[in-house]
Amino acid sequence: MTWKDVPAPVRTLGRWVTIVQLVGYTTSLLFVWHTTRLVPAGVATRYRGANPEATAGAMQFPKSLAEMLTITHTHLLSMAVIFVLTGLGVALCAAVSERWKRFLIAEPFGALLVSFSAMWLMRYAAAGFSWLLEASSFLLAVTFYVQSYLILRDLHRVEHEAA
Amino acid sequence: MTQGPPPAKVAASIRRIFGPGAETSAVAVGADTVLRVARGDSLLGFAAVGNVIGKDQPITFLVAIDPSDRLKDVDILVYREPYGGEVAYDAWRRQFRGKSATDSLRVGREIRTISGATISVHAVTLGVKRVLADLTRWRQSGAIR
Repeated sequence: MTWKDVPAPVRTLGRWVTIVQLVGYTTSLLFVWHTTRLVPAGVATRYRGANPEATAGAMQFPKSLAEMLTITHTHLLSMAVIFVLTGLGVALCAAVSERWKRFLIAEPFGALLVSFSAMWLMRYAAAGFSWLLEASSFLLAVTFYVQSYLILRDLHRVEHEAA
Repeated sequence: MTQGPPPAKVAASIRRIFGPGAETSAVAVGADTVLRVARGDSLLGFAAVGNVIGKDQPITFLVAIDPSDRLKDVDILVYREPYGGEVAYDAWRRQFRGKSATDSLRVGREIRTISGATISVHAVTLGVKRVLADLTRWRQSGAIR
């Protein structure tokens, strides 16, 4: 089954869900850039805190266990839903090989588990795990944008052929 | 002053701020209650409990002043929200010590904000300013002495 076999209203839904998710994901990356400058040291400080006497501006304290649990469960569950939707969209793409489809569908779920494991290790074990978090989150973002591009390209082709 | 904190927390806060042996007596000022703190015949200061709304929930705090009407310390007595509890940390609260009602207390200037607790920082700073102003006014009017 491909997007061509899907009823037109469902294709419209697929396109708009993808567009809105693109805006939402990009906004979340902007938020992370605003709070950490997207560098490992900034990420580590956000979770592990910094000595208030040695820094200026906003104070940063270590995140509490309750905050860590809240961040983990809200992000894991909501991001899993996002990648279920993009995964379904990729599964329906005609122009992507079966092998790539399976990789693009599975990669985000693996990256999510690695990212959040790295977040806990960074908070409680060593600040250096921020590099793993950064690398894993980067791959997650790249996969998301590739998935979204493939879905929108496939949908555009199907609509073009139908017209 | 809508939410009453547990008396044990108030007593512990007074003990921490004024030291052991500090005795309190409640003074009614209109609808409000001020705690007069003394050790024997020596006046140590005054304290009052306030409430401000954080994101959704009230934050219950205590403001203590010394006999020269300078802020001695702030204590967060009850914090009810899942985020922003860092306002209870000493590193942030100590910024208020020594301030008087005429001092400027602006978030981002005299009072540093806290990453991830911006709403609570603004709420507690506003609440402290109000209670400090009330205590100072009541002292100057002779309502508490």
